This record gives sequence, structure tokens and C-alpha cells, in this order.
Amino acid sequence: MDPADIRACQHGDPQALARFAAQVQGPLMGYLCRMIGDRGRAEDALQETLLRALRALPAWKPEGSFEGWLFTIARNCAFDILRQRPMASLDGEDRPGDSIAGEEEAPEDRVDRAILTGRLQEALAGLPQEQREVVSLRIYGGLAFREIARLTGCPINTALGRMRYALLNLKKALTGATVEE
Amino acid sequence: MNVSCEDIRNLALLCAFGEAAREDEARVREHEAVCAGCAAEIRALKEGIGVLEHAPREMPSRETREAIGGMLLREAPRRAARRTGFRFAAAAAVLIAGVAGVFAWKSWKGEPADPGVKATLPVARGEEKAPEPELDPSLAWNDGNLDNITASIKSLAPAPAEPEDPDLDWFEEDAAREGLADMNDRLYTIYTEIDKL
Ligand SMILES: [Zn+2]
Repeated sequence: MDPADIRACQHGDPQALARFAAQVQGPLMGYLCRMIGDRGRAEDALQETLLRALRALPAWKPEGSFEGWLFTIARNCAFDILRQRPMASLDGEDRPGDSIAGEEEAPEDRVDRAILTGRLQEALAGLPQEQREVVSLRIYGGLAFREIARLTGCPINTALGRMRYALLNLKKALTGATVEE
Repeated sequence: MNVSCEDIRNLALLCAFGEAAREDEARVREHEAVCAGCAAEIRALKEGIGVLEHAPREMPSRETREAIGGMLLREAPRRAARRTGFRFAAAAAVLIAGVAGVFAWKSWKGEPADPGVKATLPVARGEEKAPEPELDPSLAWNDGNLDNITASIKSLAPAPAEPEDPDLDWFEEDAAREGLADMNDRLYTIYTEIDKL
């Protein structure tokens, strides 16, 4: 987020706060859906994340990245929810058809894309949690690997290793081979 | 420097996501040319990264988006909210939190963010700490069309200057809630249009 926008949020500027909510809800929701595996519980976690973020925002200092700070809060909320009940897979009604559609494209391309997205969603859900988390923080949060390592409390090599295994496992899952560690 | 295949593969990942220094990219290319194992894994990694472009994009439901709008109204620091007017705060919060998120997704490209600062091999090997990156605001945190939306909200609900009288708080909040109900009615129309897209 733009540093000026963050400062405006800290001073309670309603426009900046609204822009903040609009910008972060999609990335946070993506991360929380992949981590929790249940849309309803991910939405609860999203609201809790934003509530905690809004309350902590005035005290935030630009020592680390704002995005890293925000996803740390989301991670804590996700783990709080997962402690109550472990991950479930998204039910049929919540398949990617409910997700935001892509840009204008031909109907057949859209079908291909939806099928691939659905299979990818299943493949992501089948990853070990540590691999799924690195992938989700990268693709939804746009966080650098060094930041992901700090956020998840591991050396950067470990974060990179998890991402590599995740990518290889996803590729194997989508080409029909078995998923490996 | 003696570089292991494991280091090269980690470095290749940083290269693929635009987080490696230029000299490290050259190092990966040189190694790839002489090591079939790494060349094969790096090819597979790049294919995996390509697949990730199809990762499902998620948005909260309309109910949750509205709840977030209400939360902004409740949780915004009071001092500034009073100064700019609760009515405007409510309208802007609900409208942007509810609708603009869709546009934020459309402008979200799902591309790897360029961290601004490139990691070097010692950083990739965990031997050195990388400098603080500056995330590119045009990528995952892109606000694309939001300026236009914000401008249109301004015209919808101009912010009157409110007197800084603490006794007026409850009254302003009531007025805001009435404004909120009215905005929700109008929002419903917008949502149904967006859902058709
Ligand atoms: Zn090698």
C-alpha cells in the first residue's frame, strides 16, 4: 500500500480506510481460503483480521513492510480458527465458479480456465500446510520470500525449499502423477 | 565460490520471481548449461509457476463486504471521523469495501511482486540478511481504478465539515445509519450488475 495512504488510515481518514479495505480483502481472502479450506470460516477470519488490523493500525510503525504486518495478523487469525477445528476442503457450492471471473475471454477459454482453476484449487488443498502457506503468501500476498521466511519463522532457504516442493507437487498433481514430499 | 545444486535451485526460484540480483541470474544460467538435473528441475519449477497464474481469486460474500463496511464505520478513529462527517464515512466505507474490491481484483495481475531490492547468492543461502525490500505498489497491492471510484463517491456524498463537539457524536452516528440504509439499497443494484459480469 501507498505509504501516504497508510498514514491517512492511521489518522482515520475514511476514504483511505475504505481504499485499504477494498485493496486488501481479496488478497487476504485468497490466503485465508487456502489456509482454512472453508469459505465461511475464512470470511470470519477475514473480519477478525481487519478488526485487529484497524485497532492496531494507529500504533503501526514503518519498520517492516505493511503487507508483512497485515498477513502476520491474518496468519494468527487463521491459526486461531484452525486450532478450534482443523482444515476442511471447500464444499461443492464454493468451487471456483464463485470466485471472480477473469477478463473478457472466449466461452471455451473460460471453461478451460475454470476447469484448470478447479483442479489447481484441489491440488493446492492437497499440499502440506507449510508448502500451501508459502504459495499462498506469495501469490495472494505478493510477499518476497525473505518476508515470507520472517513471517513464518524459518530460514529463507527453508521457505524457498517449500515453494520448490510445492511447485513440483502442483505440477505432478495436475499431470496425474502422485504428490510427493 | 563453491555452489551446490540446492543453492542453484533456490536461486533459480528467486530469479523466476524477480528477486535475484543480475549476477546471480548469470550464475544460474551457467550452472544450468552444465547440470542436466538442475536444468530439468528449473524447467519444472517454471511450469509450476505458470500454473499458479490460474490460482482461484477469492472475494468475500456481499454480506461480509457489508459487514466490513460497517466495521470501518465503527472502528475508524473518532477524531478524524468526526471531522470529516460520519455520513460520508459510512457511504465511502460501504461503497468502496463492497464494490471497489471487485475492481481491485480486476487490476490485480497475480504477477510476482518486484521487491525492488534483489537478493544475492549469500542471501539465498541464508548467509546474509537482505536489505529491506520496497514492494512494487503496482502489483499485488494495485489500486487501479480505485481513484475513479473514490472520486465518484466524493460526488455521491460530499463531506461536510463537522463541528468538533463531542455531544454531537450520537446524533451523527444515527444520521450515518440512515445514510447507510439508503446506500445499501442503491448498492444492491450495483452488486447485481457486477454479479452478471
Ligand atoms: Zn546442478
